[in-house]
Amino acid sequence: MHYMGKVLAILACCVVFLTSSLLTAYAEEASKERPHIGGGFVDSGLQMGADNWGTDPDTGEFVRIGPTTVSTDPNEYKYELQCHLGGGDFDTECLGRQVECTNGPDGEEGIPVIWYSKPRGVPGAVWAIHSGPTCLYDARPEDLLPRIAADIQREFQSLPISAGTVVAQPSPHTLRGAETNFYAEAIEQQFDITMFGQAVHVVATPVQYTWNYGDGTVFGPQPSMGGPLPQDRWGEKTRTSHAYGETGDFQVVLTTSFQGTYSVNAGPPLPIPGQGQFNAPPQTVSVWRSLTRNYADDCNANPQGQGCPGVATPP
Amino acid sequence: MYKPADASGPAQNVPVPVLPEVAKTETKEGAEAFTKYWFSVLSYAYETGDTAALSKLSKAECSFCQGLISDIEAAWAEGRWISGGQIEIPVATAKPSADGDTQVVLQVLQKELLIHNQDGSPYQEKTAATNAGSVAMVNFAGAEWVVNDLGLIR
Repeated sequence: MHYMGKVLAILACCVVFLTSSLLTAYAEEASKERPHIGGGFVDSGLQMGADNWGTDPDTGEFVRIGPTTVSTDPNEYKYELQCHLGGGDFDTECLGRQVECTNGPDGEEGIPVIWYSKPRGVPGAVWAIHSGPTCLYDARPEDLLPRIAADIQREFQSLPISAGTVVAQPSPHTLRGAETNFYAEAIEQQFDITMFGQAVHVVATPVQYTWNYGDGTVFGPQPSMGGPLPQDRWGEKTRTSHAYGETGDFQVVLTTSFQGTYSVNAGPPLPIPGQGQFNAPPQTVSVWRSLTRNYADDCNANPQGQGCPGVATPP
Repeated sequence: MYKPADASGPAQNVPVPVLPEVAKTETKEGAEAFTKYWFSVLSYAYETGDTAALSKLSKAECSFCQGLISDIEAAWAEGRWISGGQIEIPVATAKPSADGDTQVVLQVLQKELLIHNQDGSPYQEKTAATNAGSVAMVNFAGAEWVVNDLGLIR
């Protein structure tokens, strides 16, 4: 019997292996054969880069505007009670198949809502159903969204968002007068928090970076997080590199600005109005000076000569 | 009888949009009616794969227009078809613009859209319904309106 068991185990292992490799091959094949096709007006427009119209602050007219780093949601949102027809009227047929909103975060009862959106700045635009029904849990649902909106900025700034890490090239020692390449590694982060008894999902995206190089030089806020240089190109000037004028130890601090969205009980992502600033832990860079001396002697002939291994250099 | 598309096949007997009389006039109302008509022709192209009328009403320089046409043609290639994607324009407002064109600001609602393979299976994930602001730059050239430029408001 033992013998049988062993054979079966080996067989099972090989079947699993085969299946997984077949699946991988299929997935690769599928992605190769199926390029994404712009599906719909907005999808095609975004792929074409046609989403570049905004209001001219001087004339109030819609004009083509250049790309900016900070994109905001072009729509605004609201919610209405599900089956509410306006005033005191409800759709009784709809009420019959209304979503059940029990078991809120604190076990309380909630109300079903439908989310609506409309584009900003379009005269006479109508509200259209965006998503839902979803549940809101609060005694006064009508002022829930304004209360969350009023508080979200403070909540956002107090989230444990990581500003990212700082990398210096070369590091930890660099040379006076040479370009030291700095870059940040910051990523999008998501959080689930509870506000006024509602499940609030926050997405924080890094958008701007400020470098304080520790020698009085501050660069930013600007949109580039910089990037790594291959070792054979260290010393080249980059968008985020810095050349120190003095030797010594410097504390480099990166401040990353995040833009956020929040969604209430799986509702649409709503933009958080301000940006949140977060600091990365300081990184110490030691700036040294380099000194070049030329010697005529051969260390094999004169091992005690200056510059030979083991011989003290003059001050 | 009009029958919308589903997994079993493309839409049948899709009504061909008709250019209203007012859309043939060089007036504010004409520009608005023409823009709404242009989007009903776009909606027709999504539902039928026929982009001929849409091309005629769009200038070659309108890159977004050309992008829409090529995306619709790509979606309908190789025996594929689109279900959903119907467009509605609740509001369109025209005003003269500095460069001689007329600027029409409008709201575009589009229903959820799915591209079907020849066997009816989904080609890619469906595109959710959208609600967007758009700007169309239209021009009365000769005796009819044409779309010169088109954009999404962000």
